[in-house]
Amino acid sequence: MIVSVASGKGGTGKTTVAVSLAIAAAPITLIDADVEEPNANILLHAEKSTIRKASLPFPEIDMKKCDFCEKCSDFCAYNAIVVLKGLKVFAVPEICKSCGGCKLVCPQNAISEKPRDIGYISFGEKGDVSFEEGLLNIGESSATPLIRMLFDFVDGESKNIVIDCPPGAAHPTVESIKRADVVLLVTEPTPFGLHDLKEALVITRTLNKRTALVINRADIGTDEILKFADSNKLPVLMEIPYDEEIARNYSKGISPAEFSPRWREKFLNLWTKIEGMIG
Amino acid sequence: MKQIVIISGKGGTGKTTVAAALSRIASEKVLVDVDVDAANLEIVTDAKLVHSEPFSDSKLAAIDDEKCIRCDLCRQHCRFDAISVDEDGKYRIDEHSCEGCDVCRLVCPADAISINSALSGTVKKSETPFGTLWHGELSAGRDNSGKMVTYLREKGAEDAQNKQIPYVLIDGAPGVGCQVIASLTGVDLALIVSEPTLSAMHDLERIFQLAQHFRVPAILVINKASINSSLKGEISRWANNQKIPIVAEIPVDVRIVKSMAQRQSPIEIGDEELTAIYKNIWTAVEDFFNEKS
Ligand code: SF4
Ligand code: SF4
Ligand code: SF4
Ligand code: SF4
Repeated sequence: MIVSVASGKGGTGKTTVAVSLAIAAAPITLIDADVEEPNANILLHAEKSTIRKASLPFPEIDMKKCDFCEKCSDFCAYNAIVVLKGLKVFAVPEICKSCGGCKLVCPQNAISEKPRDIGYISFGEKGDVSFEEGLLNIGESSATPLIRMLFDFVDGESKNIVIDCPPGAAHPTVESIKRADVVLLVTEPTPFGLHDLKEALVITRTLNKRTALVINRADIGTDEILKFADSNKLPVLMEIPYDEEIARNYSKGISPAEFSPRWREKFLNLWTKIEGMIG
Repeated sequence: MKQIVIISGKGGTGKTTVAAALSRIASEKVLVDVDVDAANLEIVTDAKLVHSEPFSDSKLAAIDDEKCIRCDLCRQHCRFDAISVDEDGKYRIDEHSCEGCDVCRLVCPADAISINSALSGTVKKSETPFGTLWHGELSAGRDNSGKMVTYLREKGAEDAQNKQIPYVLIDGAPGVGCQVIASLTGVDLALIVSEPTLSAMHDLERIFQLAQHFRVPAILVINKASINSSLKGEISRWANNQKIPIVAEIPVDVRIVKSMAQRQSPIEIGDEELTAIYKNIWTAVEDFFNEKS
């Protein structure tokens, strides 16, 4: 079973839920797909054993062959390749999406591709939790391909997987919930929480995913979320109260499942309920 | 006209809370919310929509099944995994993955593929009791390229220029990706909001690197300062080493969370001490520009 833990906006406690769930339901694989800011391991403390570079193909131009026809720059949908007539042709790393199009259109065969590093993928273990994390280099915009690479390592694995997804509702989030059997949306009972939850639901609905809610800081704010969940037939599988002990432990990098057997029990219970959804 | 962006790296560090509070304090400014994935400033500024327009900056491929000869070339060439074959053998585009790169159209021998522009969201202008607010909403599942961020910033700056308003206050996007880059480039000052938690500190370094990369000077606000005193000490030492001034420390206060849940800002709590903290932030911003000039 693959469970994606997502949220429309950051700071809802998504990572806390993902890590606690993984700890409680181990043996399991936890994937941190929030590659811009991977924080799950701050709570998990896995020993990283392998670190690999992640790269994308990047165009390289052989100026001996190029005749400055500009076909490449005309083609590139992102204006990522620049032709300076008579001087030079080059692709801009931060903008290029590595689509491979310029290489295909070049009539002189002047373009080849070389790997360009965009980040890292690391692996580790903590107890019965196998951990995989992607980290995008600063200034790099290709989160989605890096997330796709993360899944290359687990595709076909039969182990249960929990994914800590990037916040939002754009391509990187879509990529991290595509493979999920169940999407768990972590939200809070505020007007923001509701607003962002609706956005996230657009995605889970179009992807046709079984979706359930976890409400964090459930006792602060209004019951708008509960009403919304009810009228949209969204199961609320867990409510976490505003709790200074959770917040203090979180600040030190300790998840509820780690500091409290009671919470571990609750997260195991959450896992059982998720399993019940696909039964 | 000066542009100030409030950023935090990680979400949930109170970035929007600070933006909401400053919207009450700063006298003359245009507000811009560029967190187009989760535009929240409108909720806490009593915003009344005065204008909205569709925004399309993305392209999507479409396959004409009548023309398709099922040669599979498009699927093999699409580097974004956006083309799949359904049970009936039909080739289809996954519009949540397609990046509109045009490669499939290029390789299709049957001329079955077209590339069309797609709606990526809505750009909105609202009036609030605290000034004009430019905000936008990205349609779910569209790529967040940062173009809407740039567009909103241009609109806000234009407004400020025309009306001779001295400041543009930008509620930045979370993360360190393209939208954040688009919210940082060319601004005059970054107000970084962080908190003494290991996760937020981890992101703080990344966001600061990014600000440096784009040569944007930064000042720091520590939110939830009382949650972990030893980590707070660490942030202070780090800030000291990096020469980022810490302009305010906001305590943990459940009333702040509640005020936002009621669509207000911490200023409406009416606690003088708390209000003074937010006022200090704005004074620090003004001082920064006064010292410079
Ligand atoms: S398409 Fe090829 S030959 Fe033409 S300008 Fe580009 S690199 Fe040079
Ligand atoms: S690989 Fe694609 S995105 Fe990159 S420069 Fe070539 S055409 Fe543009
Ligand atoms: S336009 Fe590019 S990303 Fe979209 S389906 Fe075609 S090849 Fe794939
Ligand atoms: S390349 Fe064109 S003809 Fe071939 S499968 Fe794709 S759409 Fe059909």
